[in-house]
Amino acid sequence: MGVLIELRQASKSITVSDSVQLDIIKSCSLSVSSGESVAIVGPSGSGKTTLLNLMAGFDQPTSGEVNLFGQPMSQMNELEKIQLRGSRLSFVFQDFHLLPALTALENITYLLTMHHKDHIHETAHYWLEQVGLSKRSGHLPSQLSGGECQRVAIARAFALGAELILADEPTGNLDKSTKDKVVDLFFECQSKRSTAVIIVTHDLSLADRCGRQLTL
Amino acid sequence: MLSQFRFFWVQLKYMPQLPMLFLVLCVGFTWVNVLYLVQVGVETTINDQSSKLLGGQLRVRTDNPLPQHQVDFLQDTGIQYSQAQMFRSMIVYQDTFSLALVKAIDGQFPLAHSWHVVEQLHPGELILNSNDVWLTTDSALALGAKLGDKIEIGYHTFNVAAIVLADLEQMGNWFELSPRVYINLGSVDKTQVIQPGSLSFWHWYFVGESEALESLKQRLKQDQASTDMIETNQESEFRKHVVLDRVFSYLHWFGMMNIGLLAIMLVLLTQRYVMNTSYLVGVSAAFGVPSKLVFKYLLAIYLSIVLTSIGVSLLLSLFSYGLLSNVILHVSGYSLSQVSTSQLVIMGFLSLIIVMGLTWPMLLQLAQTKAKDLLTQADSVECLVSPLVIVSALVSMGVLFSLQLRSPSTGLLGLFSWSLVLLSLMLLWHGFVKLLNAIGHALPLPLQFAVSHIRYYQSSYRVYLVAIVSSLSFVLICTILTQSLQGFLIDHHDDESPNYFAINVSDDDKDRLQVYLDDNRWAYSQIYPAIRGRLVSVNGEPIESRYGAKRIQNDYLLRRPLNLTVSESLPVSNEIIAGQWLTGQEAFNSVSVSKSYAKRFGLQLGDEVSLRIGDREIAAVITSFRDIDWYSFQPNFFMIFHPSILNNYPATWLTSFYAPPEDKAKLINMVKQFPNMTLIQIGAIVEQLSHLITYVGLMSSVIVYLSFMFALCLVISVVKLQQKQRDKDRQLITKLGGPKYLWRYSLQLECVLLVMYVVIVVLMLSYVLSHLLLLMLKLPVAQDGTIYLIFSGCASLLLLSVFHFSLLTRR
Repeated sequence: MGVLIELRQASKSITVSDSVQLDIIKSCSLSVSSGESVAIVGPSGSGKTTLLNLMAGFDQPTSGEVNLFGQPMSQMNELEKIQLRGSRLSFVFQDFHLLPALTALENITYLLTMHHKDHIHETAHYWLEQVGLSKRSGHLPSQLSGGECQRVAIARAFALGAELILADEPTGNLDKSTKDKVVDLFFECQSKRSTAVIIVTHDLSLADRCGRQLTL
Repeated sequence: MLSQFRFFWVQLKYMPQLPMLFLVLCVGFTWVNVLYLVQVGVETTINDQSSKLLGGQLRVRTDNPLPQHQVDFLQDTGIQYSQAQMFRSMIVYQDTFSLALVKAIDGQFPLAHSWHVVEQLHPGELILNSNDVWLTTDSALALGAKLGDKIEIGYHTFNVAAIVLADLEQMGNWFELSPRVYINLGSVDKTQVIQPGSLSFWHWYFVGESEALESLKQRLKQDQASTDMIETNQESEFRKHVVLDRVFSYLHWFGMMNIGLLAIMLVLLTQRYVMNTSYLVGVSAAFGVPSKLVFKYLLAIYLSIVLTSIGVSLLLSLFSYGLLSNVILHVSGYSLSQVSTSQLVIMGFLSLIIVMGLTWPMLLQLAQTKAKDLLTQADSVECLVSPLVIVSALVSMGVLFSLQLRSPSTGLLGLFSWSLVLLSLMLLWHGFVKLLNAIGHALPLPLQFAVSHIRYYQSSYRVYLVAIVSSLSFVLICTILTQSLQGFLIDHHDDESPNYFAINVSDDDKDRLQVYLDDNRWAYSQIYPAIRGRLVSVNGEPIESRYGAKRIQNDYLLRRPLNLTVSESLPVSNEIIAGQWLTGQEAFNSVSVSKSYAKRFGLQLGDEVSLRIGDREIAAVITSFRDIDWYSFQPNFFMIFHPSILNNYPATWLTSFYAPPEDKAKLINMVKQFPNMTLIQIGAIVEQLSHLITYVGLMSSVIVYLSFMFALCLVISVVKLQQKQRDKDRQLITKLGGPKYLWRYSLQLECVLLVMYVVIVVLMLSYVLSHLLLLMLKLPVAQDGTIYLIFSGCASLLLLSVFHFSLLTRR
């Protein structure tokens, strides 16, 4: 099993004022291999989302190193990071980030088209079917419930064929029964594709479903 | 590629600002293009027409016929020449009369080209016999006369021998107030219209070798009798300054107001487009689609809208120009010049540059923003209003105004005025928010909530309320100006005001005219003598050295003779503002000068002015300045002398009088009794002016109301975008046990506060700007409070409904 992402003594601090530095993440080390599922848990303000942003390349560590797919991110330019995100890395966000003007199906086909993938419609229909929304493919996000929107977001993440999925509070906006269904579906898809997932959450039941837990 | 583009095109249904953007661009560019086309078209047409001048290659306008020494020179050098005398006179056909410009031509005219004959009595060569008159199409229409009819000009009866199109003078005939007729030069004396002191002028026309013409020009320049010298195929500055520049200057200032408004709308709409698309860029970048790739498509959509609207506006402009050209063709018989392809390309290119200048920095900013920032971005306009955006928009507006006004300095002035208005509005909003902050804590709870909402959304409110306030202010200003202009005309031309000017009354007829007016009980003003004289020197310094040749060439008051008069008493519509009226011993050598004339030529009290009347010169000392009410419809003069100075000079007489509409028959009788008198119908001119003001007011209102509608739509869309956060706030308040009415009251109070702010600022801005404009237009600044009251009521109701709809209805 190859290592997909590796953090070596990664730290992130911000300057609050001229003399005050606030450490958000201190010397964090982590390694995730393909097929693994890792939960990052911790109380609010512990730096979970910041850590995820470092792994996604949205942010730079103050010190230490982040290697993604064997390449140090500090040596990548913005375009290389973007290209890596599209081909091997994907996301599931707490507030879904579906495009409101596009239908459930189009939200998936849009990214597949932009990445010049093959069999776009077949892939999109397949993943919508996997998340149980094949009959809602023509609906706009505003016509779907929160749980359904998150399922579309999950289908989108897996449809892109990423090796690693970063999920930021994927059940944060869902009620209990919807949450359970979405979590089941998420792990079902993960096992089918042997995709590695890193989930940021403060929901311990979700964290328990993961193979490993990192507490901040 | 196309399938990728399709996804971005689908986004358009979530961007209602794009159809608005399309409309704004279409309206704005059509307006700019039509103004540009008309201005260039008129000038090109005038120059085209110059080359078709029937007179020939050179025309001189003067007060006298060609002197013999010039005729000798012309014969020696082989230059062909022709001359025509022009004067205004009444023309009468049966019981119809009309004021006409009579052009008496010699046998050599035309020296070049040929007449456009509509119909002629005798087939064959067109010859103007001594008893013949040729009518132009408009004079035939005015009289209802046909070929073979007999019409009277002064004391002579002529046969209508032909109907022709008016010959083209330099700069066209579009501003001729009276239709034109042609008689033989030898028949002028028979009409007896030209009396000593009558207003008439001569045109001399020349055709010849260029060297000979050059030498002639030098001779004519040395000859004091010649005044305007115009070469064909050469752009003349004269008519442009006098008529066209005035017309276009009004149109430009008015256009600048509308274009400024539309430019603001364009910036705001593009801003909303960028705000809406930023989320799409953010999501795409998060999933590995480069921002620049997405930006490329979004820019393609934006550009396709811009280019389509530029194309549509070019078509609309061409259509409007064609329409106007046809109207001119119908009225004058000549149409405007065709629009060239290069003109269209230049217009389209300039339009594109202006749009890009106004919006490009904002679009670039979208391309440079990081994905994370785009995803988490709140609905704030702040992130897109950088100094670069503002500077670029201001520079583009400056360029737009300069191109539009065809003068960089006036463009800068327009830009400065707009910047001042926008800055004032920003400062007022800042003050309003400060005030709310200061008093907020002492207010009841619903009002505190309302104040906190305004404070929270102040950045987006600030920008969009500026659009509403400025457009609404211009609606009010347009209404005030239109009403003031019409009110001014009505005030100055009430039922008892003079509605006719009788001019060119001969010395012999003066007493008889007074009796006629008395007999008919028509109220009339003093009957003044009018003596034609030209200013030649001030304090012994010739005007050529005092004002320079160029100034003289460009200023008709220096170039042409003035109407001078004498009076022992101060005319009713005049007021002495400096010095003393012509009384006492000094009065025998004194002249009273109008304030505007003195200011124009830098004259002071005590200055000695010399004027040439015929072949004699007189001198007088300025002892008073007068403020003249030029709109009193009374005879008014730049210079009034003591009777002792001008007693022995040839004069005609003039007066104004009121004849009720039912006395039309008596007027016809009057024209027949005084054949060489000229009658000008002021009432008809005032009525035409009133109609014109109504049309211009209506046209301006349409564009300003459109801008206001765009601004309203923008505010609605911005308020709607706040709804998600507001819903969260409402749910929180309810969960915390707050009463339901609290939320509703706070929103209603927010509406009321915003509407109060808008209406008060609009009233303040309109009051100040309309006062300034009325002062500039020299109109009375006393304004009727009723219009402000009605406007406040209507605007408040409308805005309350709009804000209520936006804030209190759910999506």
